[in-house]
Amino acid sequence: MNDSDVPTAEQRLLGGQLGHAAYLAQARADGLLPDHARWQAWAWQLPALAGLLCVIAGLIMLFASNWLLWPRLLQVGGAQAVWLLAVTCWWRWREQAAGRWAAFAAAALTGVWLAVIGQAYQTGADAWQLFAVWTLLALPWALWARLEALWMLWLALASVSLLLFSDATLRWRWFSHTSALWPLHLLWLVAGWWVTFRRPATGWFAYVVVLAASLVIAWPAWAALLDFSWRANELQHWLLLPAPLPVLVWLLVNGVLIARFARAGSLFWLACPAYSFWIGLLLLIGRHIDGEGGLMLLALFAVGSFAGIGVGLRRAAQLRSGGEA
Amino acid sequence: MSTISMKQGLPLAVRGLQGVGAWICAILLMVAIAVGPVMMSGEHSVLVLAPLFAAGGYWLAARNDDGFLADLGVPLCMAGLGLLPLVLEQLGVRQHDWWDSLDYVYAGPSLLVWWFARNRQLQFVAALVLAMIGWYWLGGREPWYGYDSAGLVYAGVLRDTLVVVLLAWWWLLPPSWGERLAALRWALGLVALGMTLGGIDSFLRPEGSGAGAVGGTLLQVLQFGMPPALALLGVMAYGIRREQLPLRWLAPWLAVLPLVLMSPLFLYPLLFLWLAMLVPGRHRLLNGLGGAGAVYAFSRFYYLLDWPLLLKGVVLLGAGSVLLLLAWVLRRGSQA
Repeated sequence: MNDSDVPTAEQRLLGGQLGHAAYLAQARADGLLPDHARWQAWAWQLPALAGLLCVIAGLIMLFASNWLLWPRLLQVGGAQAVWLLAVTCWWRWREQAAGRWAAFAAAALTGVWLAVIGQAYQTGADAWQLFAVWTLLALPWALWARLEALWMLWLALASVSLLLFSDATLRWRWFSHTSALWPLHLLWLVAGWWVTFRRPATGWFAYVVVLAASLVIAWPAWAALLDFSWRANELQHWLLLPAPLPVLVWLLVNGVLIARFARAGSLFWLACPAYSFWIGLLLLIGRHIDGEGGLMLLALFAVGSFAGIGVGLRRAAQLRSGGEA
Repeated sequence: MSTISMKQGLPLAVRGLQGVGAWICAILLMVAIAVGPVMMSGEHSVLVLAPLFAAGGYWLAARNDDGFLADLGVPLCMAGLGLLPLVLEQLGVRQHDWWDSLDYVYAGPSLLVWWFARNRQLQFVAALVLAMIGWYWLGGREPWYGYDSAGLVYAGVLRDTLVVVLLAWWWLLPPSWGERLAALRWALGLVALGMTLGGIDSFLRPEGSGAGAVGGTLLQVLQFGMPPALALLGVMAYGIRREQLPLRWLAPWLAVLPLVLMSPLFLYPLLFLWLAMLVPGRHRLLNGLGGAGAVYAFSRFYYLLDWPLLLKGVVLLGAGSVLLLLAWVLRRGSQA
């Protein structure tokens, strides 16, 4: 961890060996600062995006504040009119980047008019039903736009609807060896597979998806490793993975990722399963320790194995940089 | 030959995971020492173990020739320093309950570690502790403010203004403090963003304010919201001037000013978005923090209870419409 992540020129600037003007001139020559054209684009693109978010948020708040006073038809009509406006903008700009963001607005506003219908007409629908229908209606937009932000929204909606459904139907316990929902596992396994294998990318979206997928798969496995009784799943429900399966899925998925990305690919795809195994191992050992001496051994083992993972990751990074050179 | 070369360490996302792992190790070690040797051999054993781990871990972390030992040293040093309150209790220093004054206990050691440590991870952890203590001290909760003084009310406002100025200074016109400054500015930025978005300390706002809102009359809004907003505007103006851009490009950002006046939730995300454009080579991470922070700020803004929902909605609609209009005008101007 003594490798510096500060660029050489910046090191010289911070060390007083390079003046600020010279540093900026070098940064411009190396393309590390935006040029005039990039500034010009940013000057209107970011305010446009911010404006869109402000308008969507403002509309949501207006509806939330006023809807009790409005006639039901006006409530629903108003919500759907705003949604239609977003759809119209999408149609008008569908060949441009703005069209993708209009699709995001349309997908987000779908939830607004669904909620308004539910509230205005007291349909008696459960919260999970709102999110489930919203998820289904947002899917075509996500497939068309292929916008990472929209896919992030869609994954969040799908996950929330699954969690709410499990909570409503089986009183789902979030930290228990019975917490593994196979639809949630499947959703995030597919999303994780897509960003790591099918369409390899290393942007923010890929990192968030892989991290979320790692947690979804690891959480029930960790809970199962901590379960002192190892009892079979007493809640026989079609949503749940039977007791040993979450651990097996966790072992299999992380094992495949480590084997696949040991020498190539993003280092984050290797680090996530490595640390997931590490935590699981600590929980398993911790479950069997006895007394204060065992706790100290666990702590020292944790420190040693943590350092070992660091060495492994550094060597994997050197393999990658050696391959690129 | 480019002078912008970098000796690459692990990617930032991986180092983030490594940081979490280091904290897990340090906490395990602290608990193990508190529960184990302290209970078995007597509480005085902490007088040996804490300095041993702190000094030994610091020395190991400073080694440049073996990554394993350096990685081992970081959580050891953190655990050793983390046990300082127990050490002070055993030494009988001032018969004080040091667990109630952790800021005083950790301020000095974290300052020393941040300044002298050669291990980047240890330096960042120390900087993070320093930033959190500084954020707390500037928040006006310490006795030297006087609990009834007017300074208590303005402390949060002045803190936000000072932090914006400090971050802008350290990122845009950094002093020659060496690479340790890089750790400190990241730490302060993350603490400011996290604490503000989390609404952790909303106690320094006018009566009835909560979750970081600037409630009250228009005069109070200007009193409490203007200083940090002006500081942010100063950063934008500096950026425009430095890059020799037309002043009219600032116009859309002025439309966001009412939001910044109403709540500091938007202050740091906007600052990060501007720094992303002005700091060489930091575009992606600062943009990510600013963008994610701005999106989260909207959701927190919804739950602010000090402004009526109707007023918040109207202000957002107004600001959003002006932003879209100005963006359209600028776009047309750029295409002309």
